[in-house]
Amino acid sequence: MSSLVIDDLSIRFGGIKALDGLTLSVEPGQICGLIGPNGAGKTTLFNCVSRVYQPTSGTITWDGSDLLAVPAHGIARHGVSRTFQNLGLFPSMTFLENTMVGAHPYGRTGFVRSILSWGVRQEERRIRREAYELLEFLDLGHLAFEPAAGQPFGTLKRLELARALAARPRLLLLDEPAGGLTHAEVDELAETIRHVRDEKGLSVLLVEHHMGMVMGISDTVVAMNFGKKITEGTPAEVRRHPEVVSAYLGTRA
Amino acid sequence: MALPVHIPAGSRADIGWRVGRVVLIALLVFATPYLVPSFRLSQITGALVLAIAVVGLNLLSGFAGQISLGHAAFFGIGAYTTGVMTVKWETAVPITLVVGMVLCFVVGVLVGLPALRLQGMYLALVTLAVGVLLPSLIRRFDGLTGGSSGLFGMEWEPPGIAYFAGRGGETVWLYYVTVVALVLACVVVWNVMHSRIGRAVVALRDNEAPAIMTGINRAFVRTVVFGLSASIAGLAGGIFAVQAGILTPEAVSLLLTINLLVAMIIGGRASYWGPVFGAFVIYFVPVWTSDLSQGPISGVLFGALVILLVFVMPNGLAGGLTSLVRRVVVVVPQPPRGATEGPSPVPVEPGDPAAGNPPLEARLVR
Amino acid sequence: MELLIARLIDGVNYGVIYGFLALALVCVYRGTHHLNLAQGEMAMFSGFIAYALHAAGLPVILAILGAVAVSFVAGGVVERVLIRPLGAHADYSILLVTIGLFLMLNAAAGVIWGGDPLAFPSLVPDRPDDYIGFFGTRLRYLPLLILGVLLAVMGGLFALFRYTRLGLAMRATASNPESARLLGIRVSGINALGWMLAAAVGALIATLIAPTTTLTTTMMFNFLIYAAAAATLGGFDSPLGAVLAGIVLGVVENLVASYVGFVGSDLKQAVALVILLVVLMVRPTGFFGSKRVERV
Repeated sequence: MSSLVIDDLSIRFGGIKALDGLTLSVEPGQICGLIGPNGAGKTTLFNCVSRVYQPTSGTITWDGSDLLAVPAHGIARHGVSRTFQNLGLFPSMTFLENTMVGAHPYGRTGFVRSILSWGVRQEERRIRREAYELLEFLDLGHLAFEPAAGQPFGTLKRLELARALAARPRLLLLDEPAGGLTHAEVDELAETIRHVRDEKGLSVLLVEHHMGMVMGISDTVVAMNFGKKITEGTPAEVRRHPEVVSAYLGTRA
Repeated sequence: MALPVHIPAGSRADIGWRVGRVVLIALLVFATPYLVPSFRLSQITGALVLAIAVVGLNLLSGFAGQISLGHAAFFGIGAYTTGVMTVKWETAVPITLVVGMVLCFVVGVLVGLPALRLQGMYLALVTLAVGVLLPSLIRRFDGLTGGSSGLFGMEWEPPGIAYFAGRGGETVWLYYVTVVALVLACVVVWNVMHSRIGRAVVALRDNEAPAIMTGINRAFVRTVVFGLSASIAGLAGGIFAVQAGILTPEAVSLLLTINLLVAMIIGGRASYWGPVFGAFVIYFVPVWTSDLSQGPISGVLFGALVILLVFVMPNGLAGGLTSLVRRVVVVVPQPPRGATEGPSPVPVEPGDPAAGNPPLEARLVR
Repeated sequence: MELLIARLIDGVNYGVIYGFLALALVCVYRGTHHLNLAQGEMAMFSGFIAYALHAAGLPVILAILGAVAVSFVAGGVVERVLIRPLGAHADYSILLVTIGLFLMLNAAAGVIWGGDPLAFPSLVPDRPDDYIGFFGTRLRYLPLLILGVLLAVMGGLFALFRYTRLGLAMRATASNPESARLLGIRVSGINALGWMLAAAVGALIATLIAPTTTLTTTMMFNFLIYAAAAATLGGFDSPLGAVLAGIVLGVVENLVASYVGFVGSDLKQAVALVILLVVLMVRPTGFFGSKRVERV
């Protein structure tokens, strides 16, 4: 069973300690919400897990192996996918093509095979079909051949989710998925995430500012501030925790 | 019948449309030697050689979006490899072409490596430096390369078939050789871009960090593309050596790089036909303007044309042609067979970028 | 020993020119963060304009100042018409436009003034025995003048950036155009100013070196390569760095060419190019430039 275990993770940028001895874990099939004020280190943590940053100390274990030994382009093959706060789509490709890129780790065509066109047609057909089915799963099938630009933000976020799912992840890292969405879109997204977790049986670690959404779908919530974990527990427990309240609302003067 | 005609992708009409175009081009290719005088055929071959080099440049700069201000260097390496090997060591031309291509691939990868760490302007500078370095090196090692005085006497004897006999024989032979090389180069680029690797290339171009997250090995893809692009330019150079018969360091200088870049822009970046159109324009416009008047006018024209194209027609001639063709025929992509539902083929307006695109065709956002 | 000093001085003379042109590149970069490949040709064209003014009857000094003024305005026109409409992130398009400009100016000069080199008089006496003795070598007046003008221009730019509000606005824009715009700084005007200053500087260089090189359409091209190398070495956003780097480059290049037999004169430029490549690999932002940080 695949779980994510982050142990005593720290990272410094010059004089600033962006993460300070952070420890958290995500059990298989769990949705874990990460909350905290701006600058708490949530995206930094994400970037460490997705191997954009190299932490100064601590470990990240995924599925029993050391994730810190894996380069950024290797995590997809290890079953870890992420989405981006401001969308990381490829505008010159269609919805279908964007999703097909997600399946990159499962292709066998390299330069030699592509030049010789050896086995390419079959592989393309398979990837195309699977990507299409994924788009339909997320109710985007009708947009398959549209360019991935010029659509509503919420739709594009779902496309990014489709692309992330094309890698058949066992861990999904969602970076502020509700950012920029309308109320209706947020509800839809929450439902989608739950649906995806139920159908595909994966774990989700999400960073989110939208309290309603995070508290609504998370199994556990971790609250951070100043690079440290303040507390963790069920949504109800965390919501009432005095340090969390003061981090967001301040203390009585 | 209302225009544009919509053809579902993969249908018999689609296949017919594709085969028909190939047949048309093949007819044009075979008819040309009969339709034009020998010196004109030689010029056409010259333009086609240039086209091969532009295909290489386009793979790197158009499809992969990496600036290269020194592509003439690869052309030069290919040219001088063939030149030196045939003149000094009397090696058979095909072998020299292969050697040149391999050498260019290696150099291309070496240049591509620092390119991994640099963006935009800095990459431009690296490639500029390499491009300016080569003619200097050629001049310095004049014992081998003939230096500034040049390298002479390259040629490629046609095989002893009746078709190539006679005084125009070598010209016709070189024409067909170049056509075959161009087709090969185009097919290679097409194959690469229509595969998983091609998607990776475009993904890296569009949005690098997310592309890496999806599992694309940036270092590997980028350097191999550099090498491949250099290799194709090297092939062009090798053929140029035997076609021109003379090589000088000036012929492979920055001026050539600029010509290749301009040809790429005029033809249309990230397109398959663009390099051919662009190469013909670059090759023949000076020929015509020198008939008309002073040479430098073509320089002014080119400069103005480049600037104009950047603003007005960023998709170049190929883009213009594609738009025109779409007013007549549109190939509508179909959902994969075996999928549960499909979108009904929605009739779209001409010029709608979503309709009938083969994957990854010239849709540059910038 | 005297030979060494002579070679050093020779290197410095060339280095000053590289640094001077690099200064122009830096002016453009500070505004629009791009390399203006047409900088050399713009300078060359300005040189020819000075020639035309002089041929029309103006004394040399006025012809030079006139060319500088015309170039100043022209730089703004180029930025406004060709560069600004392309937007902020069109790296490739801007590069191509500068290439197009390069081609046009190069060819246009040939069309207007013909292909033969033209003579342009020097501001200071430049006869064979016009020099100041220095440890047995000769410091000629013209290179001294060029050095003097360069120092004056650098001083002027330094004062501009450091002590004026306009200079502050320029530095702010170079650092963060979006914030600068929000603060009410007319970013587009600042960018234009960068191009205008660069064009004026280019005109100065061309008219000052014209007496030695004669006015030809290829006079500036080689210098552009060196200037690019100098600007890279020194850091594209540091005027002082670019000039220092230019001088260092000139000296190193000349010394290596003189003392390393393998290099000779063919590979002289290669020395600068190799230095450029090494710097790009090791420290692309140069020795005086500032690193640009990108957030994911």
